[in-house]
Amino acid sequence: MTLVDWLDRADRGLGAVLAGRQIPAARGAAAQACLGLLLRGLEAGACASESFHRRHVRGARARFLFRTEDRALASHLVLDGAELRAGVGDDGRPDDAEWDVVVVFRDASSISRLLLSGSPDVVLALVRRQLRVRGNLALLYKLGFMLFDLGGRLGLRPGGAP
Amino acid sequence: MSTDLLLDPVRLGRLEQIDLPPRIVRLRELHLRAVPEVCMERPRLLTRLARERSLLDRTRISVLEQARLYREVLESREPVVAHAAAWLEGTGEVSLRGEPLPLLAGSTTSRFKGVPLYPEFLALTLWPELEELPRRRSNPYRIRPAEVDELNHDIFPSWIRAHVAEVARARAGASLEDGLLGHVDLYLLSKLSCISHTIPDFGRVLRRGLLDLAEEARQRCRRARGADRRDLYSALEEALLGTVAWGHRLSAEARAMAEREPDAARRAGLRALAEAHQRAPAEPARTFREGLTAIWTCWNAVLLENANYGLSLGRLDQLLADLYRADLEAGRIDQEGALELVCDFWLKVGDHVPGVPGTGEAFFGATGSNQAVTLGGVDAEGRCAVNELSHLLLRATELMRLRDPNVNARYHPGVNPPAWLRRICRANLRTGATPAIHNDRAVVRAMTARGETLAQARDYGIVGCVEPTSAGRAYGHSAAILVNLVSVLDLALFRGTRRDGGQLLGVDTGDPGGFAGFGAFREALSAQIDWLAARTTALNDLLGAVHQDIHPTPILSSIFEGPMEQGLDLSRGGATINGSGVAVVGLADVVDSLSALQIHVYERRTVGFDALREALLRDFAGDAVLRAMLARSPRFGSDDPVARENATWLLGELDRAFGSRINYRGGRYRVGYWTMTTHVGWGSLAGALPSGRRAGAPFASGITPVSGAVPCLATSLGAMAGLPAEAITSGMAHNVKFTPSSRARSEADLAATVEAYFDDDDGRRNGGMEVQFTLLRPEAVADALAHPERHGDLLVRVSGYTAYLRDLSPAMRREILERTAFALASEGGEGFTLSLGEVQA
Repeated sequence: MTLVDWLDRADRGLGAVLAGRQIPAARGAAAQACLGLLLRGLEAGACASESFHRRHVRGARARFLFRTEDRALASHLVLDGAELRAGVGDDGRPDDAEWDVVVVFRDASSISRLLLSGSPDVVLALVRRQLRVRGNLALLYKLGFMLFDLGGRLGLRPGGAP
Repeated sequence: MSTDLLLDPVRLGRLEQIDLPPRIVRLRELHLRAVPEVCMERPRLLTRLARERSLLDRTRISVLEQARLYREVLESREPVVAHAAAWLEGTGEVSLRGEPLPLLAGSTTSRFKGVPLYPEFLALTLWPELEELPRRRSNPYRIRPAEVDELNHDIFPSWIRAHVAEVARARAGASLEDGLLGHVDLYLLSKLSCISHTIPDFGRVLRRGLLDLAEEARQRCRRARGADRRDLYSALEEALLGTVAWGHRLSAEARAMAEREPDAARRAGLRALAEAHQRAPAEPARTFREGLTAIWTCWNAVLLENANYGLSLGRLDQLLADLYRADLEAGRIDQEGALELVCDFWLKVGDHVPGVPGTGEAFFGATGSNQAVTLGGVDAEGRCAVNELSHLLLRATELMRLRDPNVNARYHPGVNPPAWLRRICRANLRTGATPAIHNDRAVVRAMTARGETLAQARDYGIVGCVEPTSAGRAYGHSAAILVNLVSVLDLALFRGTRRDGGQLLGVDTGDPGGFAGFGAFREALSAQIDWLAARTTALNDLLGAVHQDIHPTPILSSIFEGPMEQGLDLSRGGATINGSGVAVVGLADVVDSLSALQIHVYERRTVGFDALREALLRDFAGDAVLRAMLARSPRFGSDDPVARENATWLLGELDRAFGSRINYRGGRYRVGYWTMTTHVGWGSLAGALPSGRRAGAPFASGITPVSGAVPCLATSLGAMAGLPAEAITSGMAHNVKFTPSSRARSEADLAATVEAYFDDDDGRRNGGMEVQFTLLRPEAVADALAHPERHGDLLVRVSGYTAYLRDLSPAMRREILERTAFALASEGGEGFTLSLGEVQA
């Protein structure tokens, strides 16, 4: 069982528990943790792996904000040409216009549903209106490639290097 | 052309006996086994040259700059006479050394079967899955790790702010973001990926040659007033000379290969290639081979500029007939030789596949480039245009059984000989899925209703899937907008919001439960259609303006009727005829829903609107009786007057709402009914409908009635033949699935069926406009599903285009299998529905 399979199962289990108990705060916390884990994972990848850094970070400039519609949850990721930085909240920039890409999730569930789907598909999530995107989509495609690469390096997807 | 030579029954009979020569059999085998490989040549060259010219950060690129860029690419591309290697399914990379040489040099990509990338359009959507492309379940592409790195590091980053979608977004801001991404359940706009969907004027290429056209551009430039016009003419000249250079480079490469070739036969073949490419397309074509060479070389150039979604080849049997005849009379060619050339051309045309991301597969799955070829019909004066070459091209089609080109046959009842229709039907029986058949009388009526002259309308060719287009002179972008009509019905049902609530999206047309009658519901739907038409056409116009500014099309403009004469690029309205097309998805489901609402909610009042709405939201859980009652409502495709009236009204409304609008090039919007695989993709997202359709089920394809709704074929065809052709101005795809019995019997039955369907009852009805068949035996399908490796060339009709069954998604396969199947030779044409379970059993 890959980690993705495991996360899938965990998500289903967690979702069932949280939905059954109607604990939106806990669900939100879980979603925030998932998102944070993912972005921090990228940050760690960029720090720990020279090849990951060279492949995705060097020369790349983009500012991503991820938030829920009600702004209760937010995380960000910044590529400044030399470093990748991730963090919770909006980094002191509440105005969407200050970001190159803003991904607005409908709610906390939409975050965990997308991130733990095994094969996250942003376009399908758009079609299902689980999220909306403001900004340059091409940067989001780049981010998708980074995540895919990270998954491979961590052995989280078939064919990826463990 | 005299018909005595070219419609000689003895000669046509002889054509039937010709089989594929061994070299074509081998090339076809390689073609079918080849795995598409991402081609880096175009994005690499284009990125480097655009960067050198500082074009990537520009908000406006002149047509002359664009032409110079393309000319340099054409002068830099590797001239491929014969590919050195291919990647074959189950084998891996194999050398093609010693394999048969093609009869046409050149390639649209650097790969044997390539995936060309257009980073200025949608290639960047492949970015997230670059490493997954070779492993993805559906339609994998081969890509090398170094190529992934090059795209990730160098090429894609260069276009992050320079592709059409981003330039448009930067211009329009949040309104476009919402418009493009927020409503993908309602509509899709294809200008993000291309304009395409047209037919170049190959007639002028063959008659005059490109050097003569370039000279005309030079002369006009000297006389032109205004910098823009001078730029345009200089751009046309650059584009034409670039294409000539490409042909000459292919010729030079073939000659160089001949010098090195030890085998005498291959050496002679290479010299013949060199000679043909030296002449065509630079000079007027003198022979059939030069004609095909000219078209193919220009095709290479056009695809360099335009992503290939539905760029189409037109009426090849008309364009090439005089050259074919002259060759026959001079003894330069025989039927076998001509057929071999055409088969080679067919393989060449399919040497690339569009790059589609995984999600796109749900909407446009398994599609080729939909390069339509049109055969038969009438000429501009209304005379029969069927000739021996029409038959020969059809013979090549049935022998090759390929997805691309998408072959379409025209039939004019009373003008074309019935033998032509029988021949088309025979080709369908032999291929199982092609060609689609178009009724000249109904199509010409629809086109003249939109403003084409009779001669222009009669000279139509099919574009993409099924869209009739005046060949070489109409820039119609028939796929500009794809509309999910079921979502529009939802807006009427739910007061302008989606059914899961949320903010107002369309128009608040009030609670249908409070409407006085069905007329008020129609008005509500009409208002939502108007809202959608206004929104989508405005977005299309905005994207069109971006194309004008950063993607002018000098190559296509250089071989098109209009730009040279008017001094305007195609993107700015230079074509003789301009337009934009809207493809409507879900018509039958919406008509059926309207009829159910009319009967049960507003007339008989057997169910209240609130109760119905609740049942829809529950997907009829616990409402089996209600669902069964709704499903017995009058159905689209039946002879019930309620269904017929609702269909006619809805077609008229859509034509009014879109057809009254003028696009950014000064042409009108036109409406067609074909769905590719969007009826499955969108269907999977849609909730239950008043027609009794359950949530997630596919919509009916094209303009086809819902599967199983009308069990009698004769009734269904009669109803479809009564639809108003003048409201269907951008084509329709009407799928009919048969299980053939004996071939001879089936051929006659099929032809009689089409004849009856096309009949206009002495002007009392329009006659069916189009029909396309899937002719499959259940046991053949079952075997193909169980052993896909044995059936790599099994063709099926999707909606408009054909596809290889093995390439389709499981959902799309299921939809095709579950279409109503009619037993072709059975008494009365009673239909039955085949379920997937039955087939697999």
